[in-house]
Amino acid sequence: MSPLIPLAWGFLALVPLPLCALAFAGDSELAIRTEIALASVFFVFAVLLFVGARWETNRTQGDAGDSGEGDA
Amino acid sequence: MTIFGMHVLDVIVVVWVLAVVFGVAFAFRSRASQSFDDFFLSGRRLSWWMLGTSMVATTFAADTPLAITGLVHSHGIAGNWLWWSLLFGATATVWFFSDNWRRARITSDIELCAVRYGGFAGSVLRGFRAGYMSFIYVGIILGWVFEAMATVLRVSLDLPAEMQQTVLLVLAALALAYTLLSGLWGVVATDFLQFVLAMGGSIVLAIFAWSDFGGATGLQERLVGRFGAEGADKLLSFFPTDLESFAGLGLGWMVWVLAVQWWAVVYPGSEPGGGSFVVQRMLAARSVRDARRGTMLYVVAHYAMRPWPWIIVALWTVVALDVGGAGQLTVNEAYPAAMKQLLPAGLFGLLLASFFAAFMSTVDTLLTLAGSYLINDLYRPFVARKRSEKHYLAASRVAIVLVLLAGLFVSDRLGETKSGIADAWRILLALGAGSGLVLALRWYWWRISAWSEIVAMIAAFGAAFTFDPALRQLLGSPEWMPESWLILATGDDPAGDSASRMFAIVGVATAVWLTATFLAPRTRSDRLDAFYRRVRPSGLWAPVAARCPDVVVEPRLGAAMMSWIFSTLLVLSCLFAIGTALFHEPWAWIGWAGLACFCALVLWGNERPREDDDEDDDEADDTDGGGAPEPSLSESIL
Repeated sequence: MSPLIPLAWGFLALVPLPLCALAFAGDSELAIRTEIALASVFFVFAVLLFVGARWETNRTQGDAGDSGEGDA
Repeated sequence: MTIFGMHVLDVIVVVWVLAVVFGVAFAFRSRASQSFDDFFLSGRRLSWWMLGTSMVATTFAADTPLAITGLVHSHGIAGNWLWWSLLFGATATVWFFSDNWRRARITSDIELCAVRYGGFAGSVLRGFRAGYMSFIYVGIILGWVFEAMATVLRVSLDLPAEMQQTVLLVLAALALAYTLLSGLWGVVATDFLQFVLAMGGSIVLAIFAWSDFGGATGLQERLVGRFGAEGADKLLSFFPTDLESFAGLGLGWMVWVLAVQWWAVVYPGSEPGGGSFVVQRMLAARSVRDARRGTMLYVVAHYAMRPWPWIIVALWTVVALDVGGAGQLTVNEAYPAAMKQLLPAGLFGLLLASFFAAFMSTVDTLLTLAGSYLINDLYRPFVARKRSEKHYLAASRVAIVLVLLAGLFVSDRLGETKSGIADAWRILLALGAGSGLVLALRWYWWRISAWSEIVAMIAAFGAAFTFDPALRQLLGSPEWMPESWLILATGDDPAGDSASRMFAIVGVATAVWLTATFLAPRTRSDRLDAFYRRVRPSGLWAPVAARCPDVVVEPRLGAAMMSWIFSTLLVLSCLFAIGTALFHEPWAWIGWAGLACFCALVLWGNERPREDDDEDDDEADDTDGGGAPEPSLSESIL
């Protein structure tokens, strides 16, 4: 498993935290914007890491195929 | 509803973040259990972006925002030159030393004593350094970060002393648990998460402070209203406005800080030529190129990215809080007080969790570092040789527990007196003042021997003891030592003569270790030859090179010098480009951003592929553990 996968899940698990805080933001526009921005940042990190892990896996399989490994 | 002075949502956020951090580390447990190298060096499989982020997460400790706030309060933004000056040494580490470290293929920086010197003196040096770094150094730094974290808890949550200790112990135990489970893999992975959290938290606080000011214009108006136009300019200037009063300490101090300190003083985390946790990450890199690029990422993030959110909050505390006034709020308490006043529920919990993350990322690194010193440089070479990997892995876990217990003991003893930790820090720096050059030159001059390093440490401490009255007062002067020996430390004002005192310490220490280098026995030829073959260093190695005609050394000093100059300019211009963008100075921003782009282009052009850039341990060193190298994102990104 790519080391990026646990990290990606970690970031995904952080996304709900700032979203939960929205319930307590009241009419503070700054708090609402900041919380949505934070949740988006965590989400973007998670997506990037998942994509990176997928890319790594594909590349490993491609390299193994090119070198004839795994043919048996 | 509140728990421990926190809104229930903040408690949920903190507990959730800690659970996520532990969960991520837990996922790496199987990777750390295969071999000693897997446990302490992640099997030497780290990509540049992971190791660079891990370095900067480690230096992002709980005390750092508090220290920056103190500097801005005392000397304005320009006060940060006291640590920005260390940038020159950091970029030198990237271009002159990171390749050498990675090529040495050692497990800890202290092991270099065996590879470079060997013999009796090399063993003494290695054993002494391992014991000193594992217990004294780690104890002092643990004490430092514990104290800072306790301040945060006290001010932001009004927690009583016993409760502060309990929270700190729980956090340290959590860091210990995932370090034992997952080794450096767990540390580096959680460092990545912790850095994003810590940086995100400090940016959120800065946004709230900035909004409270009403932006750059509001900040300037409030500063002018409080300190007058001249005072506001002084506080906001990126450079000292008056050289004579640089950081309040005079021109001599400025020369010391900018021209000497970064290569002469062994400051923990900024050792000339690299050391401790920085080298640990370089050694864990999957290739020479990853070590170099990761260290460069660390330098950019450490010097250019991190400071601004802290500086903005520090400026807010200058105008909005009554620091040192009737409210009796100290400078160290200003940053946590800003957290408490500015942030709503939820975000406060997130910022507190980011402080916990910063604290744990420092503790876990100290534990793996000291554990590797104890086992790799003390236990394995001197106590139990040629045992199985399983044995050393088990011993490593025991050593890490011992290190934490010893660190807690030392920091507890130091914390008994009000100035205990600051005094210990002073002794630690005294041991390193003046011995920085020898650590750098050992890579570039064959004549440096183990005796050079031993004498440099003793001479540095002796010179510091002679010229620094505060150190003498701390340790007690021996009766035989006449007061007249105190040649330079004359005035009543300790700051007034501190620069000349530091010059004296460095001058004496350098003269003594240079003399010792020529008088002491040389390192054995076979040891030098083996080191030369392994590292292929540039510089003054002619006699060794003559004995090893088959070793080809790439001439790279000229290119390294150019990269050093332009990378230093790049980091400084990025730092000031961000600053000028914040303060709405469009022309200055264009100038700094343009300079940054130019330097980046020059660096890109100067970065030629090197012979061993992609060299992997599996190819280079048959003695290392195996497994197919995992691909890395680094190749796709750069």
